[in-house]
Amino acid sequence: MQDKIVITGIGVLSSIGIGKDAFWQALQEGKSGVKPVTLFDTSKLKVKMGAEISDFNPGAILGEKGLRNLDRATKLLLCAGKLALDDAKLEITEENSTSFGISIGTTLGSLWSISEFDKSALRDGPHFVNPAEFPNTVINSPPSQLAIRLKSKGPCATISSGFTSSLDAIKYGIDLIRNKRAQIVLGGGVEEFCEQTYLGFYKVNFLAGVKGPELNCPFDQRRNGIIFGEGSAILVLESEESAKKRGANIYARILGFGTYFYPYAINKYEPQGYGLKKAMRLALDDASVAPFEVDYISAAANSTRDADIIETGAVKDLWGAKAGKVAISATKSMLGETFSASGVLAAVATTGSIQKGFIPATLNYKEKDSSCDLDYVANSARKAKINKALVNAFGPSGSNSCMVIGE
Amino acid sequence: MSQTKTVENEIKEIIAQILEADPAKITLEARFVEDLGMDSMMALEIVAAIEKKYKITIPEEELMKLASLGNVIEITKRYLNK
Amino acid sequence: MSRRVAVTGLGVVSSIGIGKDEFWKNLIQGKTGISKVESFNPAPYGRSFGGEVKNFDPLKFMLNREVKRTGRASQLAIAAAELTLTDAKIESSMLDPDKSAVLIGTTMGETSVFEIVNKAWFEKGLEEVEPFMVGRTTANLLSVNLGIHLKIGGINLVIPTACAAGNYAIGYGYDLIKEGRVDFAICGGADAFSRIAFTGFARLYAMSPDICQPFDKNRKGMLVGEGAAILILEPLEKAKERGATIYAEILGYGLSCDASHMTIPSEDGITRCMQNALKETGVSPEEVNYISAHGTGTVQNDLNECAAIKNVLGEATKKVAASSIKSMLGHCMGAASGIEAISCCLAVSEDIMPPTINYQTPDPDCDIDCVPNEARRAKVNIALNNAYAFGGNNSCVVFKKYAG
Repeated sequence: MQDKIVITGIGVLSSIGIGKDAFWQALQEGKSGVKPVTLFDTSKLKVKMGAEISDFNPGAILGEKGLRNLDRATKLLLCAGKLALDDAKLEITEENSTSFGISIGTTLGSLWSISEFDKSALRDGPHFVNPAEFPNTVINSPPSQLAIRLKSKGPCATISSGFTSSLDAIKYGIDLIRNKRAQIVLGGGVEEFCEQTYLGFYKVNFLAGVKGPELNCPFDQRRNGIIFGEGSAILVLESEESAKKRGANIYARILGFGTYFYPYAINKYEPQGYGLKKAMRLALDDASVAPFEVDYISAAANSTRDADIIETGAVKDLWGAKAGKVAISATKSMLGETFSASGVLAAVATTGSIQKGFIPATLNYKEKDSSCDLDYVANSARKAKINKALVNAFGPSGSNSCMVIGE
Repeated sequence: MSQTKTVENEIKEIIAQILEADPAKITLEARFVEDLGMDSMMALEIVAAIEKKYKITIPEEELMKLASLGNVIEITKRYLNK
Repeated sequence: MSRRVAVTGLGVVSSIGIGKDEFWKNLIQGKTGISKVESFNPAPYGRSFGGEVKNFDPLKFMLNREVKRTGRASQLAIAAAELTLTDAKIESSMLDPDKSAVLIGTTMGETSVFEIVNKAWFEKGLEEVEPFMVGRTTANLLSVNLGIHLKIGGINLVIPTACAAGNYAIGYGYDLIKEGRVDFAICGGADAFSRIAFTGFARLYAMSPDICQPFDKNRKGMLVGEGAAILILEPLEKAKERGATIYAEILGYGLSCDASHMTIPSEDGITRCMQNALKETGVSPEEVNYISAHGTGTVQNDLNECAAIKNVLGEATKKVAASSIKSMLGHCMGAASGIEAISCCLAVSEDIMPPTINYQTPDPDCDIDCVPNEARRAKVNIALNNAYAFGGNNSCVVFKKYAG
């Protein structure tokens, strides 16, 4: 019998709030993190909006020392780690350090660092780069820096699977616990807001505002692309037995997980959603939960033409005639598309739903798309008892992952 | 005389920034590793910053000798004058 | 469920050979894959040597339209995967997507594409950057491109734990097979020659000006290499049923994190890692015959690794050989531990220990038997594959001879 895994601590940094209480409050109020970009100049671009974490002050959370050479993604993750450990009332000591594991999903996290390091070599010559910036160029840098800061000596892993990275990393972390390689795992993800990624998405017409209005409106008829966002979150994961033994507060249980890569094409959503349907089925099977038992689906819908209709189709496929009865909402309508961090941010939001009894709204829902005709909890949050929920993550290029969370 | 003072101060500033230490603590004799908490990456950074600022190249063999502000100033001046 | 895990296919693209046979033949002859860097002008670096794969033709392994839309790291991975499937006598249609996994480790991801994009953006501006190139730069594409090429669905991940990544991918593949979650794991590592990595290592004073000499008293550092290695893992019983060649059995693996420094490995961290591997697999120090060392050829790594080996094996250190094939290939980053895993599989199946070449002067602080300069015929029952990464992410995978 597999160990049951529970969430006993949460650290979150998002464009709508830092810390789980502020984050959950903002979700209930329907706050949007979307605003004009400040971290770099967008004057030459058609688009101007993003979901940055404004006034991010890592020194306030971590203390000022030792942050000098760290990039934004790393600082976001370190903050999430500190908040999560504090929230779980845990301390990593000399005696227990080897029992902790870290598993973080990030794909683009180092792009800014890689780009800047390379540019400084191109500009000044390779001899004049700053050697301290080189370690930031490896993708496993943020979680490793977290391990160094926390002195966490058990396994430390990084997963890069695009949009599903943080859910996949949480799964890897769960496996570490079940294989007895770690007792407590900090699992989650991070993606930073940076010019390189923004311009990259802009160049391939993935951002809203290039081919239509610059809106963040999942499932809405006017949707035409993402609003890029950033964020970081870490869940403290352990077996239910371990949590009970130390008298930990349990926020929620992870009941099941499913993942399915469907080989189609890179950077194109597969229109039938075969992979997403599979991942959702596998997750529900893993959790031994039937669709009718699910109270809420935290959608991965991100205001692109394709994703939102694919997800709608997947719900219809699994729920059949009852598809209209399950509440679905897209927290990306508030947070923007945070890529690798999206899964864990949605998981934190959904844990809040379970704890506080509400479903966050899908904001900016004004014009109906006849092919997206389910209950998206439009515009205002809804009070509801959430017993079991599904958290989806998927992207173009074929990755699909799904987690079932329960109280 | 004043040029030497400027180089000394510049170097001290670079080191203070990299070690995140109070400049007052960076005396000519204070040992980077034992007294100021320098690790090997910070050592490389100090060398890289000085090379970049003064457009000099400090050979690898000299790295181990950079144990205090006094050492760094002496070696920097030596390569500046080359 | 707990199934035994077999390695049934080996595919490798390296600077000393493409395909397992050429690779192994040259490896045990102590051939070097190091040459003058050609993919960019190394003059401004003060360093000119590396382990580039100079005769790699992606068209031998994939269609032209695939070559056009993939970066070099993906191409190396796809080539290695094609080679391993042929080696294992498996058609991709035999792979049930409900029971398959594609797991690729990497350090720099699709850096070769990113370096082109970044350079164009820096030198000419965003308008000059080809959009399709931008969409090809993300690290997850290594496993995505491979999944698309082989048309396999299922579990698909990139595990970018830097210089230990291949081992992490193989380790996770081992877990999935053992637990019955998949029946085939296509796992390993890939990295293309990276100008950025070259810049960084040169700047850290970690790179040798000429040759890589692990464990030698006068070792001058590492060299950057490239390549890909993909292994096929299957449940042992099923492998036997289909009459597969079983190169080795994977008994398990150990992981640890140094939690101390981003670039210098800690003796404590790598000691614990090997101890975890032995503990998980129940292998005693006396049973270890051969270690494929991480052995980068830097002063620090080799010193700490030898100390760690002694900490773990104690007296038994005298009876163990630990060689570093990075002496021939340079450090192939995420591919390194994958290539070294292949070397371990062949070591246990052929009873040959590959050499550490360029060994001239013993170092009393690294006084292990490093199989100096010439391969050695010896019984290899248990081999450990060590790999340590930037960030202190350590790994050790345990391979055992399969005797039938």
